[in-house]
Amino acid sequence: MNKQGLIKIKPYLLVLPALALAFLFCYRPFFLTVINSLSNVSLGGKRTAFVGFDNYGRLFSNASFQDSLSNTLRFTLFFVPTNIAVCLGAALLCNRKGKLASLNQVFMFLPMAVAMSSSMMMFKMMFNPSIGIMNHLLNSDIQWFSDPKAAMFLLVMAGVWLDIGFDFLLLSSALRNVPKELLEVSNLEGANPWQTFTALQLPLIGPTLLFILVNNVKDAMLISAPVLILTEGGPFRSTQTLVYQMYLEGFKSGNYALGSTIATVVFALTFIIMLLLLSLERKRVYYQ
Amino acid sequence: MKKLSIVLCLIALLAVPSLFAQAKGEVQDQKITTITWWHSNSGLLGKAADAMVSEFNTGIGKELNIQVESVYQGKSSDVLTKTKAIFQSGSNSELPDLVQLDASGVLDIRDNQYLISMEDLAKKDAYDLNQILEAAKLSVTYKDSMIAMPFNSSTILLYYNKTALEEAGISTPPRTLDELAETALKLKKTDEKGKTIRYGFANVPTTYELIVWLGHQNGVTYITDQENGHTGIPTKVLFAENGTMETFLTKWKKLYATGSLENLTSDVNGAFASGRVAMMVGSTSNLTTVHQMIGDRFEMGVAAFPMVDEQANGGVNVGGGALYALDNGSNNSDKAWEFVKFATSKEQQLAWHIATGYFPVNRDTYTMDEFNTHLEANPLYGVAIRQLQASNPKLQGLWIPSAYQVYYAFQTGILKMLVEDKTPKETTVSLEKEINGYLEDFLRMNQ
Repeated sequence: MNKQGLIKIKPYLLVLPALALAFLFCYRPFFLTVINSLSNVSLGGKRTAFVGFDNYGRLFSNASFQDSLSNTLRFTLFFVPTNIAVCLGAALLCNRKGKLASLNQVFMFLPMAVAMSSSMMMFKMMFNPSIGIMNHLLNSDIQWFSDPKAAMFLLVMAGVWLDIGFDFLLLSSALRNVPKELLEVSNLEGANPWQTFTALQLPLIGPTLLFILVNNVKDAMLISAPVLILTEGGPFRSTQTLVYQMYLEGFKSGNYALGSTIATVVFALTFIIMLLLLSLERKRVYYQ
Repeated sequence: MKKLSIVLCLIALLAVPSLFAQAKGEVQDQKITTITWWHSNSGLLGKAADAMVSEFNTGIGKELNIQVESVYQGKSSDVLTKTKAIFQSGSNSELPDLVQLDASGVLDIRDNQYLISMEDLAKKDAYDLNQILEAAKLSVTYKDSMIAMPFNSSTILLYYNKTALEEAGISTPPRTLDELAETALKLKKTDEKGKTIRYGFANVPTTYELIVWLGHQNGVTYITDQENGHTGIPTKVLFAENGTMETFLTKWKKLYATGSLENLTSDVNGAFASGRVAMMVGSTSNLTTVHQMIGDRFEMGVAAFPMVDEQANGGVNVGGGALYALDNGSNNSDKAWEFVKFATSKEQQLAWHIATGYFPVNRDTYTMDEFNTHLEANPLYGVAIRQLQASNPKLQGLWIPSAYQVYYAFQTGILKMLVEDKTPKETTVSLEKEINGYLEDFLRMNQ
């Protein structure tokens, strides 16, 4: 092979391992999932017959699926605004000079250092209605795991806690990148903090905010692990999300076809929401 | 170019040792056979299981050159999920020699090619299976063969706050759901603001309770056809056509109407032990744990599981779990059998019973002096045993596909009836439709 040819091939060679991994762990399973969702699949995982959109029809009339769909959308609706408000608020408050400010930043960042499963186990302990510390501190007897509203609230809180480290980090570095001169000018011109925030900081951190928004929506639509550990979908399916139901059907019950159908539906739904958000980007977000 | 070839060399170097890593770990002392046992015993149960394993390893296991390695794999449902994952991957060498599973796993495992029937192992050893309790044996019998060894067997019981009952002037615990409603109302306590500070009873019925509440009506009835799935894969539910569900739901709604029932789905033990709930139903295996949780806050009593009505004379079923032997290609099933034999021997079942509250599955335990001395000192344990002895052994647990969905279908359906004020009839019809849908799906996929 001559040198010219090698140079031409080299980029493809370099990209090959990544492509092979992506094919093996992303694209192939994805296509298999779609095919499974259009077939009958036995307990042993063998496709036995092609049934078209039969599984989708059955899924949409399934009471459990209707609960999961509404729970997932409700969770997304509660979680995304709460999370962004909390993280942005924290980032703004920590965005100042001083020794204590950096200490605060460390604290806000700490949740990232705790593994998801262990932190969820701790949540479970803390919110135990009879021996947990939360009810003791609040002097209440809220049945965190038996009351559907409380369980959903708890799940949203857990979600925010899990995401705060990463989102805080992004937002706080975005806020620091707002040019000092502009802030000084706005200060000189007599702008109050609210005006500075809405007219100056917000547009400049727009791209980061959009990224966080997209990421949060994705996290919320796909939430399953905290559900699995914290509430197990209960009480009364009030926290059973789409991906958790997919886990129940696919892994616990061996209904692979139904599990695959749910996976495909979740993918399509999330994909559509992402596209809508990205169209927002074109209209509303300005890059420096 | 040079850089690239260096990188490639490095990758090759790094990749090669991983090949060796796979072969490692299989080199072991030839003489001692290690048996792996996956279980789900945590807390007090975990301690008791560890004690049993170490007694085996230092005693009979040492003589026979068998060492048991017990691995806690999480809750019973987690053990099942992990075992099933290996079945599906087809790499049966990863399977443990023994696995402890509850009834929700039977359907997934009973026809599996890697399951070694316990009855076959017993026959090979000329072991007399008659020493195992009839009801316990039937609880793991499929197609006339005992596929597993009952190990942690339990029944469902009524737990009550004896102190609270005495304060309310009630001398005997409720026998039927009607009496339960009356008693619960008397036990309910509210503060000045009208807020309930003590509920009479807490429960949301799911598969576990309904097997009995539906099953013990009119002698014995089953939730599904195929005798609750024990003779084949169930194809439809029976509770609507035989009327058992409606009878039960009518009683349940009456109980809820008293305002003394709390729809509690989790931490019921905690609520009971703290005194916030005066009565609950639970497994006999919780006896020791709940007793410890209560401490000296109040005196606890247990009684037979309340009957739906006076005609509900079927008793209770044997729940809990059993040991399954699996074929992982190591040909150790005879050695695994030694441990199974040990774990269900009369002495070990006695120790297990005392430590946990599970009842002994070995008949011979019941005639031991130590057993009867323990029973006299701890009369609560006797209630479960007498209840089981009075039960119809044909009343059996439910082996059903989509067990989790069925569980939540019951829970959600019954709650809806209570809070949305639906009639028992409507609820029965919608439950029948939903669960039959799961059964149809399963048959459609696995025809």
